[in-house]
Amino acid sequence: MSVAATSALGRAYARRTRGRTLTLIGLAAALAGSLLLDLATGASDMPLGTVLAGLWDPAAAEVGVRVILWDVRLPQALMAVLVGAALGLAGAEMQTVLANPLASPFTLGISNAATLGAAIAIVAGFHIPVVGPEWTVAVTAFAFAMAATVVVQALARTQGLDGGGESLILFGIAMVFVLNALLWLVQFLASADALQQIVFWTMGSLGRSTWSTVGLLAAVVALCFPWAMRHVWAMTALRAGEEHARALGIAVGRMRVLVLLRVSLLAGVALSFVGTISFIGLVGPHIARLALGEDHRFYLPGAALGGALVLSLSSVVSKSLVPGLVLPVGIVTALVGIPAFVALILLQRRRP
Amino acid sequence: MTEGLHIADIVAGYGRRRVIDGLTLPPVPPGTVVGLIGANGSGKSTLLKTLAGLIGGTGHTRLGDHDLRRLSPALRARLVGYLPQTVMRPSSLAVYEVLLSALRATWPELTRARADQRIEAVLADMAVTDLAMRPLGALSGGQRQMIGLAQVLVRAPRLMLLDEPTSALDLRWQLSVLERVRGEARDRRAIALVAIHDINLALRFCDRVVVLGEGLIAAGPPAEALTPAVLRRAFGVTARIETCSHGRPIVVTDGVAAGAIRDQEDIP
Repeated sequence: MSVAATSALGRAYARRTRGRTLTLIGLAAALAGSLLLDLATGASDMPLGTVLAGLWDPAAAEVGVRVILWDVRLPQALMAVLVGAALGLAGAEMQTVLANPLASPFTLGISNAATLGAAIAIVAGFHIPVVGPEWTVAVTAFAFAMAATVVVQALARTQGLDGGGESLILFGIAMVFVLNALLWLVQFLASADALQQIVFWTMGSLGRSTWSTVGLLAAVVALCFPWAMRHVWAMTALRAGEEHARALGIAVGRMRVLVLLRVSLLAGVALSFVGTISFIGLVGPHIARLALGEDHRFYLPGAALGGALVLSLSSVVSKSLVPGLVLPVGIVTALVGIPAFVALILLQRRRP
Repeated sequence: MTEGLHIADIVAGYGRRRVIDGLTLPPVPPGTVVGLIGANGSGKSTLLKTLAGLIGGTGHTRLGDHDLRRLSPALRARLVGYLPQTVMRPSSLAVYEVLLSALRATWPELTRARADQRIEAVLADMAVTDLAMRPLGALSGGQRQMIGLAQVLVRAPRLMLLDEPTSALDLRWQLSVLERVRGEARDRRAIALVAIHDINLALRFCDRVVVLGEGLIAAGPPAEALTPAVLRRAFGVTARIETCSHGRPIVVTDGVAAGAIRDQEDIP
């Protein structure tokens, strides 16, 4: 009797937990729907029934349908989901350990560093011996993204972050400008052909996706997501403040190093395959925070699903906005993301 | 006596700056609330942080059979509950989640039902049950400070280190929070070290006080340790200890003493 009476709060919390689980399932269902829609959208007309039949039994489908579905649309659509999930998860983790809702791979210059790396690889036209020509651009972009994360890491270590890490964001903006200037320099020196390639890379596109890049990114996400989920309680505790978390015996410094390592892996690999895709790392976590709160058991999967959903929908929009033309998806995410970014800044200002 | 808290020869500070230089305190028996009193910068927070293991330092700190300086972070988080002076950051984290994550981080083997019970009991004791499902961002600074204390109490530590737990609270909550801390110490034979600025609250709630200045100025039961001379040396003020109409001692401050810092010969 008294047990039932005293566990009213526990029951209320369990109800909330169930509601959040349902929200996660809803997000996953929306993502599945968006993925199908993405597969059905494109230059050639393909009804949803044909898509489902072609997925279910590829051997029975027409050759044209099979090639378009399995060699073109499916890798691209899965890439959209994986890149979105990787950037959403990276952004969420970054915002927690840097204690700032404006932190993301994009706002701290990590994606600009990847762009600069890709541009240098394109202009210099070198090949990394073991990697081979088609992967050289991606590997160089990844290396630059890693280097940018190391710089962020060094700054996070020297600066106190309990004040909200504002200096870190300002530093990120400075880094974005510097990297852009260097990018212009590379573009100025580039040949017309290389310039076109760089510009295309900068706009971010899913068009370069192949099954091998999809597989590699899937492996990275499959490694990083369970790894992150092992630290959900510590990350949740960290949201109440760094000193409070340290008082709980959480090694905050060590956790920050591990998280930024994961972030650079997720963001670096994702961006190196698709080019500059902005704001997903900001919008995904924001969706999760609004829908699920900041209990990281729900917040991290929610951010990954939210990022995947936004990028998948952006992919649909990029294909259907201008009939017969596939816009670079980075343009779509930027147009969707900038209002969200401004809203975030305004919301943060309002807070006491 | 191996029970209780033993502190000897502590040297601690930040970087090269020594804030505490060779501090030794009388042993503190279990079930005691100790008020840490002293001017700004006298080392109250530094002492608490050193005991919490958040800053380095040398010296002997023992709690019962445990050498506090050699504890693993996990065991220390169980035995020692530290409440920082900074109030919890506003976020969309719910109060219940704050307490649950604190329990999960320190007592992972606790079943969910037991964890729920503990959280309920602490929130009810502090009379803040109605805040349980609200996000930290929707609470006032004082309310967040109380949740910070609840997060310490829910872990049931043997040593509580509370850095000005009442600084953001109104009169009523100051009393109820300190009442709660004292009850906690009595019931579980825990020790609480409470940095506190309000000397009259210290007189009322603490079993002992420790007055810090340049080193230890005085230590003992509050009514004996807090003399006009001690207050003059610690804060540079002239003060009287009067007895109120209920027979309790209260400190009345008259003003800033002239040349008080140098004038220390009158201390025995």
